[in-house]
Amino acid sequence: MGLCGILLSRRFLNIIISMQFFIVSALINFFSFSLFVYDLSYWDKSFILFAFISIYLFLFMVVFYNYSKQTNIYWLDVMADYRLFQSGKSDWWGDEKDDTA
Amino acid sequence: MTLLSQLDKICPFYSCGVLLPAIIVAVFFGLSKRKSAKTFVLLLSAASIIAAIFFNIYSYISKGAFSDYLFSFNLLEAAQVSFILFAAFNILIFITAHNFYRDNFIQLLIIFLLTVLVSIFFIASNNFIMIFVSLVLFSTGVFQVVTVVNSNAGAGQIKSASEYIVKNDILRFFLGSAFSMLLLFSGFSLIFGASDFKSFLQIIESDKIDSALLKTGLLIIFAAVFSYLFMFPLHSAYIRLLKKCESTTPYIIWFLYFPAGIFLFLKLRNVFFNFADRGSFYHAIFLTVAATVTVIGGNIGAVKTTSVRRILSFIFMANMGMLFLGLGLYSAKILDGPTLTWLFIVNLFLTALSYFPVFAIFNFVEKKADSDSIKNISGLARDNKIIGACLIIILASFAGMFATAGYISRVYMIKPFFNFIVNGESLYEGAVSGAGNILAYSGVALAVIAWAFLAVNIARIIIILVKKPQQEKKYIFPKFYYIYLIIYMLIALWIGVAGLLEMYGSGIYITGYSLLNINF
Repeated sequence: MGLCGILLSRRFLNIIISMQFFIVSALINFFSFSLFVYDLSYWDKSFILFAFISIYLFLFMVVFYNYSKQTNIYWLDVMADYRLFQSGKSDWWGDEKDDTA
Repeated sequence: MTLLSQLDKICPFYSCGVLLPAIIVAVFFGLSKRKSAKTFVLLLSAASIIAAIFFNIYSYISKGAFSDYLFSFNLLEAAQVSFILFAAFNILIFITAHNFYRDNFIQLLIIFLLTVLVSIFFIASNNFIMIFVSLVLFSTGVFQVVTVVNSNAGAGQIKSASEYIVKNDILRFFLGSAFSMLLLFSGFSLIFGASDFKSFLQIIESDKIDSALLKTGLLIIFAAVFSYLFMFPLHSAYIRLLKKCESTTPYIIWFLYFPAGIFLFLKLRNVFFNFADRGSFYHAIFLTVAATVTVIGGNIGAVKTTSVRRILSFIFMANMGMLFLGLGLYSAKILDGPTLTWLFIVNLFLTALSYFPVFAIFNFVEKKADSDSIKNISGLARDNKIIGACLIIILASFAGMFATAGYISRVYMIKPFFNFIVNGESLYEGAVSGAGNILAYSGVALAVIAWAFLAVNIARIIIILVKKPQQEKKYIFPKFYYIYLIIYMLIALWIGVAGLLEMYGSGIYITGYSLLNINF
């Protein structure tokens, strides 16, 4: 779900939510391995603590930047396309297509 | 207790020990808008970066390698830190040139120095937690620097469509980067499932290296590196951002952001070597084909466009594709591990030595002409002979011209092929008869084609530089550009001659060290 959401969504919020799914999936991995494979492990807890602080700081900054820089130009908001790896012909052949056209 | 014994405690982070006081002092001037305060902080930052380069090299030479639970510092890490600090010094020059009169200039410098500081921690990191956390914090720092230089200070509202598009491109780029971090997180979680590994070194030494879970985790981590570097065909966000962003941003992306991805791969290199050594014949084919797609994709993109920024961005991507091709050549048993590592580091330095001066000039022209069309540089070498000559030599060096710095790097990709022809040395062992050599021939042929393709792209720029312009338009460059270009041209020639003397067995090391036998 997370992967599909990140790769296919064009809306900013959808991508951010999909990223949460991705984080949760890794979290489940860590905790389930810790529970069933190792009797007592502090490694996963330390990893998750530090990883969460850093990755959420990064994501928070990205979200903050998005919402702190707003515009009143309605059609720009509607047309915004955040698909991460979407590649059109103009991305590799010839000059770039004008985004505002 | 003497000062030296105190310093021993921070080994190998002497460079950080120099950068951190500069940041702390700069914080006291953080809100100042006075020109004198900006000049003071700027000089302090420049001096701290230069001192950090010196102390980084000094600490490695005097104290040697270092390793503990969290960090590992060898010659490779010392070279990487030197590269980042060298790039940081150059970026500082351009940040100053384009942003000195901004109100938040000092804040920008503080964020920039902090990002450089974190990058040093990332380079030295050895433990999974440290690798992940420092890489994410480093990306956060790069994101902050990029957003600050692309924002109008104090203006919350976006006033134009073009500004909005740049914002979206920045978001798209860094969401891609965040995705890579999440892949990395996911990969580490699977590795944890395979065994209680805490560093990549433990993986190689373990008997669980063939565990399916471990392999999956490592595969995801390699995918994270691929995605982090925005390799073809995932490059859309990178190309779009670099076309429209502020002038300093390309330097930051090329020489702060991307090297981190390459350094991450270099941390994984022994794992890659292990798998490649035991890997199948098809593994080598896959890597070679993937590298070919990247190199051709990058070069074709550069051929078809008339935008200088896009040309340089595509060539940068194609150049990274050549490193990728190096992995294919390793899998095909044409290159050995130390040579491949050497090639990665040398290629990085070569790219920086070429891109900093070239983009500085093109950027100056872009500002004057208010367009980044390649037509603006038409006839530049005729009007400004010194600038033109320096540019041509630097570009030719990047393409791999004989007796320049680029030649040393490029020739290593095809040298084994010459050894095969001259000495009859075998290229590939262990594959079904005949097939191995065909793969090796293909790999080397692709390396030659990639080189030729790159040379054609560079030749195109050089031809436009020297051809007669359709309309007379002269650019008067400040003295700084002349000095900057001449220094880089002399470095390209100096390293080129030093490499040649060494390559052809003269035994003379005019750089003081053997350039070709550095064993990382």
